[in-house]
Amino acid sequence: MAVMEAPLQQARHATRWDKDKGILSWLTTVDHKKIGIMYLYTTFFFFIVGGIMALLVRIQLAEPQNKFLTEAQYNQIFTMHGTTMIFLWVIPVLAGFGNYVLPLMIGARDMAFPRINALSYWLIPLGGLVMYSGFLFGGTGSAGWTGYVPLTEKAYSPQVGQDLWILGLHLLGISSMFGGINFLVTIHNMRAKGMTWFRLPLFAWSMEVTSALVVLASPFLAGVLLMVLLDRQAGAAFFVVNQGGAALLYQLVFWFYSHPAVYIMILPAFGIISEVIPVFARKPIFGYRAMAYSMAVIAVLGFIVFVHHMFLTGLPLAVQTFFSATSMIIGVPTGVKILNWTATLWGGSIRYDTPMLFAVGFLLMFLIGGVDGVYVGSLAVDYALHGTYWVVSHIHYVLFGGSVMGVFSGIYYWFPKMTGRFLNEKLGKLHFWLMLLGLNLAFMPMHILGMLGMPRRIASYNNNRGWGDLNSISTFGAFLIAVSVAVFLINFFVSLRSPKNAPDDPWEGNTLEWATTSPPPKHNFDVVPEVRSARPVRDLRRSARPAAV
Amino acid sequence: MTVTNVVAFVDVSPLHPQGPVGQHINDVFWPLFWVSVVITAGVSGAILYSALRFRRKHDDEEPVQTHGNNKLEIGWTVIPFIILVSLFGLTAANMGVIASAPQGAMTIKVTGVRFYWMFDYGVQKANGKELTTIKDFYVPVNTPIALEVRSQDVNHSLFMPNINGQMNAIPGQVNHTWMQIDKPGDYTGACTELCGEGHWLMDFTIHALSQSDYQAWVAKQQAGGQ
Repeated sequence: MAVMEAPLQQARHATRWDKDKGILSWLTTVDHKKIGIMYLYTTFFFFIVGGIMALLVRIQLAEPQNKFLTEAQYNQIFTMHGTTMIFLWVIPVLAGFGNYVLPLMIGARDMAFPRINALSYWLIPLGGLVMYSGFLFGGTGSAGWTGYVPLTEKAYSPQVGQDLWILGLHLLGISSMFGGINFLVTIHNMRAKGMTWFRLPLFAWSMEVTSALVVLASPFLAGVLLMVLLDRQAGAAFFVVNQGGAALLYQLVFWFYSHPAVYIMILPAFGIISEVIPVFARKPIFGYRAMAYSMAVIAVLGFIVFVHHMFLTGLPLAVQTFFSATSMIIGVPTGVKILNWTATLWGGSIRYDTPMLFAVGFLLMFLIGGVDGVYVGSLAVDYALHGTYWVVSHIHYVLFGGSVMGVFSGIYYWFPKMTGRFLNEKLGKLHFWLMLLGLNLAFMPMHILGMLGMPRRIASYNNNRGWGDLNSISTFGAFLIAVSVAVFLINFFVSLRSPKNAPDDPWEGNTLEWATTSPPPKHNFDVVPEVRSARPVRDLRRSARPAAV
Repeated sequence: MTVTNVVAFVDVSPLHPQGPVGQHINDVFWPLFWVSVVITAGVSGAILYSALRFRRKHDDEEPVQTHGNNKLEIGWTVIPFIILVSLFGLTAANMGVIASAPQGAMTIKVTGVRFYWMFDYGVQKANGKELTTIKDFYVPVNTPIALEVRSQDVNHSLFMPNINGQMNAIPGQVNHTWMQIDKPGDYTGACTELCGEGHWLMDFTIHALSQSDYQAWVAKQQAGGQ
């Protein structure tokens, strides 16, 4: 009986949601590929919005005592810049790649829970909408992406926008957690025949580790935001000092989430780079196991470094010293990764298509972001650099020089798979060089500004401080980044309208997504090849090659 | 970098320390700086060399399929570990001085208020009120001063970059740090923790006076002068 029922069920499925075209097919889809593409479109939209916020911030700071924005506007705009780039861009865009690529990579039909997957997606535009609607109701959240109490208490941030900021973040947190559970179940249960843990593509490893972090850490963000909301709306006084609360408690819980979150924002980019470099260097990744283990070690250590965000809060010296040690030691697994990527390049046969340019750019920029992080991990130096533009520089080298370069590497790499078309190489290369130059002009001067004692998050500065020239350079760099993104957008829309020119396996890929058509059929694979190594598609190519060679 | 930048760089940068706490921060900064310059240059060089040297020459090249090298990988796990532990050791060795004021230091209470700093010198004026100042901070040179840092409203951070770095001011708790300035002159401080719209206006001037000038200033204030 069961055998007879199966085709019927498939048919019912087909009529219910498997429409191919039109708006409805997107609104109702549970196909991981369509959901993944919607993730990418939505998050890219927020990248542009957050980028416009960044430009407004940079215009305001370009010269001393600028009156371009009021202080109230400035605080809202830099808060929305940070919150958008972290929670509506970097985290979900990487989850978007996970959605599109991961099931293909492990030879699965879809994610384990397709409808929960759709819910994860829909919560993102909703969360963004809730957060941004603050602009319509007298102002958004304005206490920075970290939202420290007591500044976020009603007494100091009375606007409803601060509540909407909390509610928006809640929705995004729920989206992440659903997504994390979905990825974990998918990776654990739906791998192709023969795909053991040590044949798992490193991008899948990165999603495994990231998802574990999401599931373990995000509830703490949800919890601490709920506490702030209860303080604001129900007088709970968790953090109100004169009613028996403790202001510092917020930071402890917040950073217990938000430091692991830093790795949520970078590990999938590690995964992308670990796929791109071996393909374009025609070599296996150097030290596969070390690459997988180092991500796991980073995840574990990531939970015991968070106090370095709180070195100046008056915690006992012994506590600070312990966390200073762990914060510096976490440089070890990260260093291993950089050196293993470099060793993968060594002796390779490297082809520089745009994905590879972004991957090498990632290595160089992330190296800077890793090294300048050690300064603020050192307790003593952190006393001087904490809360200055040094930190702004550090986070942007990691998240822009690292994660965003990784994202663009991934976009150029998988665009042919998603659309059957290449992105234009000339425009791609122009995009890369403009972005690399722009980001260094924008963020390198911030190191010096930090050493000159420029505090972060200031709405302006007096002209006797000598910070004007460096800030002007930084603003120029930010606009150069904007130009590079415009080049990308032109490339994207032009390429999307050009004829299909990409074969199924345009880069000589290693992983299973290259074994299916470009774009893949709804069911992903007609036949899932059996996996015999970490590079199954390379195995297929070689077995198909004429014996004479 | 213009001349004004260079001057400012010298004046307020933590790299130009004024006094023992800043000096110890500086003592950690410079070794860290040189180690990081060497590492960044070395690794960038290795990345760029590999990236440029091993470009594909023929489309049918098949490079040697190296899967790893345990000795190398153990090496570049252990060596960074040793370097980072050494830098941590250097940090820890200097924290004793940075974190705790010497015995017998005079105490000044600093309170962060939106949007200014208030300094309470622990001295009574003739009219019975405490001697306090806002936005201007008077200290004697060559004198260790323990600072009790408080906040009256939201979080602030008392930032004197080239003197002693910083310390957060958090409502409901008293944080301790200390400072000592060796040379008379005016120095600039600020707030490094977002506290609202006037965050950037919390700059203050530290007036380091010779000990006799400081005593004279205190006496004048006590008598009720401006």
